[in-house]
Amino acid sequence: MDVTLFLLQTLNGIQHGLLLFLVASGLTIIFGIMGVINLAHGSFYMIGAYLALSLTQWTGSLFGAVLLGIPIAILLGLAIERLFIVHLYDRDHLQQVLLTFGLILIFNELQSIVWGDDPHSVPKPAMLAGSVPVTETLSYSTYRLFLSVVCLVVAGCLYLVIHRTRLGMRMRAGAYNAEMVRSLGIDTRRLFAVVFAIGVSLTALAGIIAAPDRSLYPGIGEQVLIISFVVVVIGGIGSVKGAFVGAILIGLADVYGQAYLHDFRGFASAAVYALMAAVLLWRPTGLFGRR
Amino acid sequence: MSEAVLDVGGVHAHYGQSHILHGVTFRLARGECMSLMGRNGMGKSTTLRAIMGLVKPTLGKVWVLGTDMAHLPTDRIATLGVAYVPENRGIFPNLTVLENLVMAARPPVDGGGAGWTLERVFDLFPRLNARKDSWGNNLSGGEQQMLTIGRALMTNPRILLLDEATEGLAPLVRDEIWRVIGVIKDSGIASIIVDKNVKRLAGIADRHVVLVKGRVVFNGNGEALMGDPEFLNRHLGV
Ligand SMILES: Nc1ncnc2c1ncn2[C@@H]1O[C@H](COP(=O)(O)OP(=O)(O)O)[C@@H](O)[C@H]1O
Ligand SMILES: [Mg+2]
Repeated sequence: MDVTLFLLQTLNGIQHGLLLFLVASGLTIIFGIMGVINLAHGSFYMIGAYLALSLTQWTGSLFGAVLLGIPIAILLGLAIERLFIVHLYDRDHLQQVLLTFGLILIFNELQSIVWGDDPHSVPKPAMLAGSVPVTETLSYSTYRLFLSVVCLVVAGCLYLVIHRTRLGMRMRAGAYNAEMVRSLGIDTRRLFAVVFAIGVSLTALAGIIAAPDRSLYPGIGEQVLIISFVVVVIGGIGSVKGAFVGAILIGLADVYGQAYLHDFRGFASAAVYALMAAVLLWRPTGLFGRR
Repeated sequence: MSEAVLDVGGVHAHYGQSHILHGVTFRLARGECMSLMGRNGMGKSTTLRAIMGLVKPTLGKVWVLGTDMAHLPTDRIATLGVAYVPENRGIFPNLTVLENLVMAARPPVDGGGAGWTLERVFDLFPRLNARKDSWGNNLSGGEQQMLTIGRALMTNPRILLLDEATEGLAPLVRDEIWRVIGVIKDSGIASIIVDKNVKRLAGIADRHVVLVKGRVVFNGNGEALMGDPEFLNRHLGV
Protein backbone atom coordinates (compact mmCIF):
# COMPACT_ATOMS: atom_id res chain seq x y z
CA MET A 1 0.00 0.00 0.00
CA ASP A 2 1.29 3.39 -0.99
CA VAL A 3 1.48 5.64 2.05
CA THR A 4 1.18 8.92 0.17
CA LEU A 5 -1.79 7.69 -1.74
CA PHE A 6 -3.32 6.54 1.51
CA LEU A 7 -2.81 9.98 3.01
CA LEU A 8 -4.44 11.59 -0.01
CA GLN A 9 -7.39 9.21 0.33
CA THR A 10 -7.57 10.20 3.98
CA LEU A 11 -7.66 13.87 3.03
CA ASN A 12 -10.43 13.07 0.55
CA GLY A 13 -12.34 11.17 3.21
CA ILE A 14 -12.08 14.04 5.67
CA GLN A 15 -13.14 16.56 3.05
CA HIS A 16 -16.08 14.35 2.05
CA GLY A 17 -16.96 13.96 5.73
CA LEU A 18 -16.79 17.68 6.45
CA LEU A 19 -19.20 18.39 3.64
CA LEU A 20 -21.50 15.66 4.92
CA PHE A 21 -21.33 17.29 8.32
CA LEU A 22 -22.90 20.48 6.99
CA VAL A 23 -25.86 18.49 5.71
CA ALA A 24 -26.11 16.09 8.65
CA SER A 25 -25.81 18.80 11.31
CA GLY A 26 -28.89 20.50 9.88
CA LEU A 27 -30.74 17.22 9.76
CA THR A 28 -29.83 16.35 13.33
CA ILE A 29 -30.69 19.71 14.89
CA ILE A 30 -34.02 19.81 13.08
CA PHE A 31 -34.81 16.36 14.39
CA GLY A 32 -33.29 16.88 17.83
CA ILE A 33 -34.81 20.27 18.55
CA MET A 34 -38.05 20.26 16.60
CA GLY A 35 -38.74 16.53 16.56
CA VAL A 36 -39.27 16.61 12.81
CA ILE A 37 -37.92 13.97 10.44
CA ASN A 38 -37.25 16.05 7.38
CA LEU A 39 -36.81 13.86 4.33
CA ALA A 40 -36.74 16.99 2.18
CA HIS A 41 -33.43 17.95 3.77
CA GLY A 42 -31.48 16.51 0.85
CA SER A 43 -33.55 18.63 -1.51
CA PHE A 44 -32.04 21.75 0.02
CA TYR A 45 -28.61 20.38 -0.85
CA MET A 46 -29.82 19.83 -4.41
CA ILE A 47 -31.31 23.31 -4.54
CA GLY A 48 -28.04 24.75 -3.25
CA ALA A 49 -26.11 22.95 -5.96
CA TYR A 50 -28.42 24.13 -8.75
CA LEU A 51 -28.46 27.64 -7.28
CA ALA A 52 -24.68 27.52 -7.54
CA LEU A 53 -25.07 26.67 -11.21
CA SER A 54 -27.42 29.56 -12.01
CA LEU A 55 -25.91 32.12 -9.68
CA THR A 56 -22.36 31.39 -10.83
CA GLN A 57 -23.49 31.95 -14.40
CA TRP A 58 -25.33 35.10 -13.41
CA THR A 59 -22.73 36.71 -11.13
CA GLY A 60 -19.74 35.20 -12.85
CA SER A 61 -18.29 33.78 -9.65
CA LEU A 62 -18.90 31.07 -7.10
CA PHE A 63 -18.44 33.60 -4.33
CA GLY A 64 -21.32 35.58 -5.74
CA ALA A 65 -23.35 32.38 -5.70
CA VAL A 66 -22.57 31.86 -2.01
CA LEU A 67 -23.39 35.46 -1.12
CA LEU A 68 -26.74 35.34 -2.91
CA GLY A 69 -27.50 31.68 -2.33
CA ILE A 70 -27.41 31.79 1.46
CA PRO A 71 -30.07 34.51 1.84
CA ILE A 72 -32.21 32.68 -0.72
CA ALA A 73 -31.82 29.47 1.27
CA ILE A 74 -32.76 31.24 4.51
CA LEU A 75 -35.90 32.70 2.94
CA LEU A 76 -36.78 29.36 1.39
CA GLY A 77 -36.27 27.65 4.77
CA LEU A 78 -38.48 30.16 6.55
CA ALA A 79 -41.19 29.82 3.91
CA ILE A 80 -41.15 26.00 3.91
CA GLU A 81 -41.23 25.98 7.70
CA ARG A 82 -44.19 28.33 7.89
CA LEU A 83 -46.10 26.66 5.05
CA PHE A 84 -45.50 22.99 5.78
CA ILE A 85 -43.21 22.02 8.63
CA VAL A 86 -45.10 24.00 11.27
CA HIS A 87 -47.99 21.57 10.84
CA LEU A 88 -45.76 18.63 11.67
CA TYR A 89 -44.59 19.54 15.17
CA ASP A 90 -47.23 17.59 17.03
CA ARG A 91 -47.72 14.87 14.43
CA ASP A 92 -46.32 11.38 14.42
CA HIS A 93 -43.29 10.41 12.38
CA LEU A 94 -45.29 8.69 9.65
CA GLN A 95 -47.07 11.93 8.80
CA GLN A 96 -43.77 13.82 8.86
CA VAL A 97 -42.23 11.29 6.51
CA LEU A 98 -45.21 11.44 4.15
CA LEU A 99 -45.32 15.20 3.91
CA THR A 100 -41.59 15.71 3.56
CA PHE A 101 -41.42 12.90 1.01
CA GLY A 102 -44.08 14.80 -0.94
CA LEU A 103 -41.83 17.85 -0.77
CA ILE A 104 -38.98 15.83 -2.31
CA LEU A 105 -41.19 14.97 -5.29
CA ILE A 106 -42.18 18.60 -5.72
CA PHE A 107 -38.61 19.88 -5.47
CA ASN A 108 -37.38 17.25 -7.92
CA GLU A 109 -40.09 18.15 -10.39
CA LEU A 110 -39.22 21.84 -10.07
CA GLN A 111 -35.54 21.00 -10.57
CA SER A 112 -36.43 19.10 -13.71
CA ILE A 113 -38.57 21.96 -15.04
CA VAL A 114 -36.10 24.75 -14.26
CA TRP A 115 -32.74 23.11 -14.91
CA GLY A 116 -33.59 20.02 -16.96
CA ASP A 117 -32.43 16.46 -16.50
CA ASP A 118 -29.03 16.71 -18.18
CA PRO A 119 -25.97 16.65 -15.97
CA HIS A 120 -24.33 20.00 -15.38
CA SER A 121 -21.09 21.17 -13.93
CA VAL A 122 -20.15 24.37 -12.20
CA PRO A 123 -16.75 25.95 -12.90
CA LYS A 124 -14.33 26.32 -10.02
CA PRO A 125 -13.14 29.83 -9.23
CA ALA A 126 -9.97 30.39 -11.21
CA MET A 127 -7.85 31.06 -8.13
CA LEU A 128 -8.83 27.66 -6.69
CA ALA A 129 -8.82 25.63 -9.86
CA GLY A 130 -5.29 24.32 -9.55
CA SER A 131 -3.74 21.72 -7.33
CA VAL A 132 -1.13 21.61 -4.62
CA PRO A 133 1.78 19.27 -5.39
CA VAL A 134 2.33 16.70 -2.66
CA THR A 135 5.06 14.54 -4.21
CA GLU A 136 6.63 14.60 -7.65
CA THR A 137 3.78 12.58 -9.09
CA LEU A 138 0.87 13.28 -6.76
CA SER A 139 -1.02 16.45 -6.04
CA TYR A 140 -4.13 17.51 -4.20
CA SER A 141 -6.94 19.70 -5.49
CA THR A 142 -6.77 23.26 -4.18
CA TYR A 143 -10.52 23.48 -4.35
CA ARG A 144 -10.93 20.48 -2.07
CA LEU A 145 -8.61 22.06 0.46
CA PHE A 146 -10.71 25.19 0.23
CA LEU A 147 -13.86 23.10 0.77
CA SER A 148 -12.41 21.58 3.90
CA VAL A 149 -11.39 24.96 5.27
CA VAL A 150 -14.84 26.45 4.62
CA CYS A 151 -16.53 23.48 6.27
CA LEU A 152 -14.25 23.68 9.29
CA VAL A 153 -14.90 27.40 9.67
CA VAL A 154 -18.66 26.84 9.43
CA ALA A 155 -18.47 23.95 11.90
CA GLY A 156 -16.57 26.23 14.28
CA CYS A 157 -19.18 28.97 13.91
CA LEU A 158 -21.95 26.46 14.52
CA TYR A 159 -20.18 25.28 17.65
CA LEU A 160 -19.88 28.86 18.90
CA VAL A 161 -23.53 29.60 18.19
CA ILE A 162 -24.70 26.47 19.96
CA HIS A 163 -22.39 26.75 22.96
CA ARG A 164 -21.72 30.43 23.39
CA THR A 165 -24.91 32.31 22.52
CA ARG A 166 -28.34 32.60 24.07
CA LEU A 167 -29.82 31.36 20.81
CA GLY A 168 -27.72 28.21 21.20
CA MET A 169 -28.76 27.81 24.83
CA ARG A 170 -32.38 28.08 23.81
CA MET A 171 -31.88 25.58 21.02
CA ARG A 172 -30.34 23.07 23.41
CA ALA A 173 -33.03 23.74 26.00
CA GLY A 174 -35.74 23.37 23.37
CA ALA A 175 -34.33 20.01 22.35
CA TYR A 176 -34.79 18.85 25.90
CA ASN A 177 -38.04 20.44 27.05
CA ALA A 178 -39.82 22.83 24.69
CA GLU A 179 -42.73 23.33 27.09
CA MET A 180 -40.39 24.66 29.77
CA VAL A 181 -38.75 26.95 27.22
CA ARG A 182 -42.18 28.40 26.39
CA SER A 183 -42.97 28.74 30.09
CA LEU A 184 -39.92 30.98 30.37
CA GLY A 185 -41.35 33.37 27.82
CA ILE A 186 -39.52 32.22 24.72
CA ASP A 187 -41.49 31.99 21.50
CA THR A 188 -40.63 28.47 20.38
CA ARG A 189 -42.42 28.95 17.07
CA ARG A 190 -39.91 31.63 16.20
CA LEU A 191 -37.08 29.59 17.69
CA PHE A 192 -38.03 26.59 15.56
CA ALA A 193 -38.29 28.73 12.45
CA VAL A 194 -34.76 30.01 13.08
CA VAL A 195 -33.47 26.49 13.70
CA PHE A 196 -35.06 25.27 10.49
CA ALA A 197 -33.62 28.16 8.51
CA ILE A 198 -30.17 27.48 9.97
CA GLY A 199 -30.48 23.81 9.02
CA VAL A 200 -31.59 24.65 5.49
CA SER A 201 -28.85 27.19 4.94
CA LEU A 202 -26.12 24.84 6.19
CA THR A 203 -27.32 22.21 3.75
CA ALA A 204 -27.72 24.65 0.89
CA LEU A 205 -24.23 25.97 1.57
CA ALA A 206 -22.94 22.41 1.31
CA GLY A 207 -24.71 22.06 -2.03
CA ILE A 208 -23.35 25.36 -3.34
CA ILE A 209 -19.73 24.79 -2.46
CA ALA A 210 -19.80 21.11 -3.43
CA ALA A 211 -21.18 21.91 -6.88
CA PRO A 212 -17.84 22.76 -8.57
CA ASP A 213 -16.33 19.53 -7.23
CA ARG A 214 -19.10 17.18 -8.30
CA SER A 215 -21.47 17.03 -11.21
CA LEU A 216 -25.10 18.02 -10.93
CA TYR A 217 -27.80 15.57 -11.96
CA PRO A 218 -31.30 14.63 -10.83
CA GLY A 219 -31.29 12.69 -7.59
CA ILE A 220 -28.21 14.18 -5.90
CA GLY A 221 -30.42 15.35 -3.04
CA GLU A 222 -31.58 11.84 -2.18
CA GLN A 223 -28.06 10.45 -2.30
CA VAL A 224 -26.92 13.00 0.21
CA LEU A 225 -30.04 12.52 2.31
CA ILE A 226 -29.51 8.81 2.76
CA ILE A 227 -25.88 9.08 3.68
CA SER A 228 -26.70 11.96 6.05
CA PHE A 229 -29.23 9.83 7.83
CA VAL A 230 -26.54 7.22 8.30
CA VAL A 231 -24.32 9.94 9.78
CA VAL A 232 -27.06 11.15 12.12
CA VAL A 233 -27.82 7.63 13.32
CA ILE A 234 -24.15 6.85 13.92
CA GLY A 235 -23.53 10.11 15.73
CA GLY A 236 -26.65 9.89 17.86
CA ILE A 237 -29.86 11.60 16.87
CA GLY A 238 -29.86 15.26 17.87
CA SER A 239 -26.14 15.48 18.62
CA VAL A 240 -24.17 17.98 16.56
CA LYS A 241 -20.91 16.66 17.99
CA GLY A 242 -22.08 13.18 17.00
CA ALA A 243 -22.87 14.41 13.50
CA PHE A 244 -19.34 15.76 13.22
CA VAL A 245 -17.62 12.56 14.33
CA GLY A 246 -20.11 10.43 12.39
CA ALA A 247 -19.62 12.47 9.22
CA ILE A 248 -15.83 12.16 9.33
CA LEU A 249 -16.08 8.40 9.98
CA ILE A 250 -18.54 7.94 7.13
CA GLY A 251 -16.50 10.15 4.83
CA LEU A 252 -13.42 8.03 5.51
CA ALA A 253 -15.30 4.71 5.29
CA ASP A 254 -16.79 5.76 1.98
CA VAL A 255 -13.53 6.87 0.43
CA TYR A 256 -11.51 3.92 1.76
CA GLY A 257 -14.29 1.59 0.65
CA GLN A 258 -14.21 2.96 -2.89
CA ALA A 259 -10.42 2.93 -2.96
CA TYR A 260 -9.57 -0.39 -1.37
CA LEU A 261 -12.62 -2.59 -1.72
CA HIS A 262 -13.35 -2.03 -5.40
CA ASP A 263 -12.17 -5.54 -6.15
CA PHE A 264 -15.02 -6.92 -4.11
CA ARG A 265 -18.04 -6.07 -6.14
CA GLY A 266 -20.78 -4.38 -4.07
CA PHE A 267 -18.64 -4.12 -0.95
CA ALA A 268 -17.17 -0.76 -1.82
CA SER A 269 -20.36 1.15 -1.12
CA ALA A 270 -21.37 -1.24 1.66
CA ALA A 271 -18.47 -0.08 3.86
CA VAL A 272 -20.60 2.81 5.08
CA TYR A 273 -23.47 0.59 6.14
CA ALA A 274 -21.16 -1.95 7.73
CA LEU A 275 -19.75 0.88 9.83
CA MET A 276 -23.25 1.93 10.82
CA ALA A 277 -24.21 -1.60 11.81
CA ALA A 278 -21.04 -1.98 13.87
CA VAL A 279 -21.59 1.31 15.71
CA LEU A 280 -25.23 0.52 16.43
CA LEU A 281 -24.40 -2.93 17.75
CA TRP A 282 -21.92 -1.35 20.08
CA ARG A 283 -24.03 1.70 20.98
CA PRO A 284 -27.66 1.42 19.94
CA THR A 285 -28.31 5.16 20.36
CA GLY A 286 -25.26 6.20 18.39
CA LEU A 287 -21.90 7.54 19.52
CA PHE A 288 -23.21 10.62 21.29
CA GLY A 289 -26.90 9.76 21.56
CA ARG A 290 -28.91 10.11 24.72
CA ARG A 291 -29.52 6.76 26.31
CA MET B 1 -57.96 44.97 48.55
CA SER B 2 -55.50 46.48 46.15
CA GLU B 3 -55.58 45.87 42.42
CA ALA B 4 -55.41 42.21 41.37
CA VAL B 5 -52.38 41.17 39.33
CA LEU B 6 -53.96 37.81 38.63
CA ASP B 7 -57.63 37.02 38.36
CA VAL B 8 -58.71 33.43 37.91
CA GLY B 9 -62.41 33.36 37.11
CA GLY B 10 -64.44 30.15 36.98
CA VAL B 11 -61.76 28.07 35.33
CA HIS B 12 -62.67 24.59 34.17
CA ALA B 13 -60.03 22.27 32.79
CA HIS B 14 -59.96 18.78 31.35
CA TYR B 15 -57.34 16.17 30.65
CA GLY B 16 -58.99 14.35 27.79
CA GLN B 17 -62.33 13.20 29.10
CA SER B 18 -61.60 13.74 32.78
CA HIS B 19 -62.91 16.97 34.20
CA ILE B 20 -60.22 18.20 36.61
CA LEU B 21 -61.01 21.82 37.51
CA HIS B 22 -64.60 22.80 38.26
CA GLY B 23 -64.77 26.58 38.20
CA VAL B 24 -61.68 27.55 40.17
CA THR B 25 -61.91 31.19 41.18
CA PHE B 26 -59.54 33.43 43.13
CA ARG B 27 -57.66 36.67 42.82
CA LEU B 28 -54.09 37.52 43.65
CA ALA B 29 -53.37 41.05 44.78
CA ARG B 30 -50.24 42.99 43.87
CA GLY B 31 -47.37 41.72 45.98
CA GLU B 32 -49.55 39.17 47.73
CA CYS B 33 -48.24 35.76 48.73
CA MET B 34 -50.95 33.15 48.40
CA SER B 35 -50.80 29.48 49.26
CA LEU B 36 -52.59 26.87 47.21
CA MET B 37 -53.27 23.77 49.28
CA GLY B 38 -55.05 20.49 48.96
CA ARG B 39 -54.35 16.79 49.11
CA ASN B 40 -52.67 14.99 46.22
CA GLY B 41 -54.62 14.99 42.99
CA MET B 42 -56.95 17.85 43.93
CA GLY B 43 -55.88 20.04 41.03
CA LYS B 44 -53.21 22.38 42.39
CA SER B 45 -50.72 21.70 39.63
CA THR B 46 -53.45 21.78 37.02
CA THR B 47 -54.50 25.20 38.29
CA LEU B 48 -50.98 26.53 37.88
CA ARG B 49 -50.70 24.91 34.45
CA ALA B 50 -54.00 26.51 33.44
CA ILE B 51 -52.66 29.91 34.48
CA MET B 52 -49.55 29.31 32.34
CA GLY B 53 -51.69 28.25 29.40
CA LEU B 54 -50.11 24.79 29.45
CA VAL B 55 -53.58 23.40 29.94
CA LYS B 56 -56.18 25.42 28.05
CA PRO B 57 -59.18 26.24 30.27
CA THR B 58 -62.30 24.75 28.73
CA LEU B 59 -64.34 27.45 30.41
CA GLY B 60 -63.53 30.52 32.46
CA LYS B 61 -60.94 33.27 32.24
CA VAL B 62 -57.51 34.08 33.49
CA TRP B 63 -56.47 37.74 33.54
CA VAL B 64 -53.02 39.10 34.23
CA LEU B 65 -53.25 42.82 34.95
CA GLY B 66 -56.42 43.02 32.94
CA THR B 67 -55.17 41.06 29.92
CA ASP B 68 -57.27 38.01 29.17
CA MET B 69 -54.77 35.21 28.76
CA ALA B 70 -57.05 32.30 28.09
CA HIS B 71 -56.21 32.39 24.40
CA LEU B 72 -52.61 33.48 24.58
CA PRO B 73 -49.78 31.02 24.01
CA THR B 74 -47.68 30.12 27.03
CA ASP B 75 -44.71 32.24 26.02
CA ARG B 76 -46.88 35.36 25.79
CA ILE B 77 -48.33 34.66 29.23
CA ALA B 78 -44.80 34.37 30.58
CA THR B 79 -43.71 37.63 28.98
CA LEU B 80 -46.66 39.39 30.61
CA GLY B 81 -44.79 38.70 33.82
CA VAL B 82 -45.70 35.23 35.01
CA ALA B 83 -42.89 32.87 36.01
CA TYR B 84 -43.45 29.21 36.65
CA VAL B 85 -41.54 26.69 38.72
CA PRO B 86 -43.05 23.30 37.89
CA GLU B 87 -43.21 20.29 40.22
CA ASN B 88 -40.50 18.50 38.32
CA ARG B 89 -38.39 21.72 38.30
CA GLY B 90 -37.81 21.64 34.55
CA ILE B 91 -34.06 22.15 34.72
CA PHE B 92 -32.31 21.81 31.38
CA PRO B 93 -29.77 19.05 32.08
CA ASN B 94 -27.78 19.85 28.94
CA LEU B 95 -27.21 23.46 29.99
CA THR B 96 -24.91 24.65 32.74
CA VAL B 97 -26.25 26.39 35.82
CA LEU B 98 -25.15 29.71 34.37
CA GLU B 99 -26.79 28.95 31.02
CA ASN B 100 -30.02 27.86 32.70
CA LEU B 101 -30.06 31.25 34.40
CA VAL B 102 -29.23 33.49 31.47
CA MET B 103 -31.05 31.67 28.65
CA ALA B 104 -34.35 33.33 29.48
CA ALA B 105 -33.24 36.42 31.41
CA ARG B 106 -35.36 39.51 30.77
CA PRO B 107 -35.61 42.99 32.24
CA PRO B 108 -38.80 43.80 34.19
CA VAL B 109 -41.89 44.29 32.01
CA ASP B 110 -42.58 47.83 33.21
CA GLY B 111 -38.93 48.78 33.22
CA GLY B 112 -39.18 49.76 36.87
CA GLY B 113 -38.62 47.71 39.98
CA ALA B 114 -35.44 46.43 41.49
CA GLY B 115 -34.58 44.12 38.63
CA TRP B 116 -33.22 40.66 39.28
CA THR B 117 -29.76 40.16 37.87
CA LEU B 118 -27.32 37.29 37.87
CA GLU B 119 -25.53 39.00 40.72
CA ARG B 120 -28.64 39.25 42.86
CA VAL B 121 -29.62 35.65 42.17
CA PHE B 122 -26.13 34.53 43.18
CA ASP B 123 -26.42 36.64 46.34
CA LEU B 124 -29.66 34.88 47.09
CA PHE B 125 -28.24 31.44 46.31
CA PRO B 126 -24.45 31.45 46.86
CA ARG B 127 -24.57 27.71 46.20
CA LEU B 128 -25.51 28.38 42.57
CA ASN B 129 -22.55 30.66 42.14
CA ALA B 130 -20.26 27.92 43.41
CA ARG B 131 -21.75 25.50 40.91
CA LYS B 132 -22.29 27.84 37.99
CA ASP B 133 -20.34 25.75 35.49
CA SER B 134 -21.92 22.42 36.44
CA TRP B 135 -24.34 20.79 34.07
CA GLY B 136 -27.98 20.85 35.10
CA ASN B 137 -28.07 17.10 35.49
CA ASN B 138 -25.24 17.10 38.03
CA LEU B 139 -27.18 19.05 40.64
CA SER B 140 -28.72 17.78 43.86
CA GLY B 141 -32.47 18.15 44.31
CA GLY B 142 -31.95 21.23 46.46
CA GLU B 143 -29.62 22.85 43.94
CA GLN B 144 -32.12 22.12 41.20
CA GLN B 145 -34.86 23.85 43.13
CA MET B 146 -32.61 26.86 43.79
CA LEU B 147 -31.76 26.96 40.10
CA THR B 148 -35.33 26.79 38.91
CA ILE B 149 -36.35 29.55 41.32
CA GLY B 150 -33.33 31.60 40.30
CA ARG B 151 -34.15 31.06 36.63
CA ALA B 152 -37.72 32.21 37.25
CA LEU B 153 -36.45 35.35 39.00
CA MET B 154 -34.13 36.12 36.07
CA THR B 155 -37.25 36.69 33.96
CA ASN B 156 -38.17 39.49 36.38
CA PRO B 157 -41.73 38.33 36.91
CA ARG B 158 -44.60 40.13 38.58
CA ILE B 159 -46.13 36.81 39.57
CA LEU B 160 -44.29 33.66 40.61
CA LEU B 161 -46.02 30.28 40.53
CA LEU B 162 -44.11 27.83 42.70
CA ASP B 163 -45.31 24.24 42.60
CA GLU B 164 -44.24 21.85 45.38
CA ALA B 165 -41.76 24.35 46.73
CA THR B 166 -39.90 22.01 49.08
CA GLU B 167 -40.99 18.53 48.06
CA GLY B 168 -38.29 15.91 48.29
CA LEU B 169 -35.70 18.27 49.75
CA ALA B 170 -33.49 17.80 52.80
CA PRO B 171 -34.59 19.74 55.92
CA LEU B 172 -31.77 22.29 55.72
CA VAL B 173 -32.52 22.97 52.07
CA ARG B 174 -36.20 23.35 52.88
CA ASP B 175 -35.35 26.06 55.40
CA GLU B 176 -33.30 27.76 52.73
CA ILE B 177 -36.19 27.67 50.25
CA TRP B 178 -38.62 29.09 52.83
CA ARG B 179 -36.17 31.88 53.56
CA VAL B 180 -35.99 32.64 49.86
CA ILE B 181 -39.78 32.64 49.52
CA GLY B 182 -39.75 35.28 52.23
CA VAL B 183 -37.18 37.34 50.33
CA ILE B 184 -39.21 37.06 47.14
CA LYS B 185 -42.34 38.15 48.97
CA ASP B 186 -40.50 41.14 50.45
CA SER B 187 -39.26 42.10 46.98
CA GLY B 188 -42.87 42.71 45.98
CA ILE B 189 -43.39 39.80 43.59
CA ALA B 190 -46.85 38.30 43.98
CA SER B 191 -46.71 34.55 44.37
CA ILE B 192 -48.72 31.37 44.56
CA ILE B 193 -46.95 28.72 46.62
CA VAL B 194 -47.94 25.07 46.56
CA ASP B 195 -46.51 22.94 49.35
CA LYS B 196 -47.45 20.18 51.77
CA ASN B 197 -46.22 22.08 54.82
CA VAL B 198 -49.33 23.85 56.08
CA LYS B 199 -47.58 25.34 59.09
CA ARG B 200 -44.86 26.97 57.05
CA LEU B 201 -47.38 28.23 54.52
CA ALA B 202 -49.56 29.61 57.30
CA GLY B 203 -46.52 31.46 58.60
CA ILE B 204 -45.59 33.09 55.34
CA ALA B 205 -48.63 33.43 53.05
CA ASP B 206 -51.08 36.32 53.33
CA ARG B 207 -53.95 34.21 52.18
CA HIS B 208 -54.77 30.57 51.58
CA VAL B 209 -56.81 28.79 48.98
CA VAL B 210 -57.72 25.14 49.48
CA LEU B 211 -58.78 22.92 46.60
CA VAL B 212 -60.86 19.78 46.85
CA LYS B 213 -61.45 17.87 43.64
CA GLY B 214 -60.95 20.91 41.50
CA ARG B 215 -63.12 23.25 43.58
CA VAL B 216 -62.11 26.05 45.94
CA VAL B 217 -63.40 25.11 49.39
CA PHE B 218 -61.52 27.73 51.36
CA ASN B 219 -60.25 31.17 50.57
CA GLY B 220 -59.14 33.21 53.56
CA ASN B 221 -56.40 34.20 55.94
CA GLY B 222 -54.24 32.06 58.20
CA GLU B 223 -56.26 32.63 61.34
CA ALA B 224 -59.44 31.34 59.78
CA LEU B 225 -57.60 28.36 58.33
CA MET B 226 -55.67 27.35 61.43
CA GLY B 227 -58.68 27.99 63.64
CA ASP B 228 -60.62 25.08 62.15
CA PRO B 229 -58.85 21.83 63.13
CA GLU B 230 -61.64 19.68 61.71
CA PHE B 231 -61.31 21.33 58.28
CA LEU B 232 -57.53 21.05 58.38
CA ASN B 233 -57.75 17.40 59.20
CA ARG B 234 -60.33 16.59 56.57
CA HIS B 235 -58.87 18.47 53.62
CA LEU B 236 -55.20 18.80 54.39
CA GLY B 237 -54.54 15.84 56.63
CA VAL B 238 -53.11 17.81 59.54
N1 LIG C 1 -51.50 14.62 32.24
C1 LIG C 1 -52.60 14.17 32.89
N2 LIG C 1 -53.49 13.37 32.25
C2 LIG C 1 -54.59 12.92 32.88
N3 LIG C 1 -54.89 13.19 34.14
C3 LIG C 1 -54.06 13.98 34.84
C4 LIG C 1 -52.86 14.51 34.24
N4 LIG C 1 -52.22 15.25 35.18
C5 LIG C 1 -52.98 15.18 36.28
N5 LIG C 1 -54.07 14.44 36.10
C6 LIG C 1 -55.13 14.19 37.05
O1 LIG C 1 -55.67 15.43 37.40
C7 LIG C 1 -55.96 15.48 38.77
C8 LIG C 1 -55.32 16.70 39.38
O2 LIG C 1 -53.93 16.55 39.27
P1 LIG C 1 -52.93 17.68 39.78
O3 LIG C 1 -53.40 18.99 39.30
O4 LIG C 1 -51.56 17.25 39.39
O5 LIG C 1 -53.12 17.58 41.34
P2 LIG C 1 -52.22 18.13 42.52
O6 LIG C 1 -51.16 18.99 41.95
O7 LIG C 1 -53.17 18.84 43.39
O8 LIG C 1 -51.64 16.93 43.21
C9 LIG C 1 -55.49 14.17 39.36
O9 LIG C 1 -56.61 13.34 39.54
C10 LIG C 1 -54.58 13.61 38.34
O10 LIG C 1 -54.64 12.21 38.33
MG1 LIG D 1 -49.11 18.68 41.97
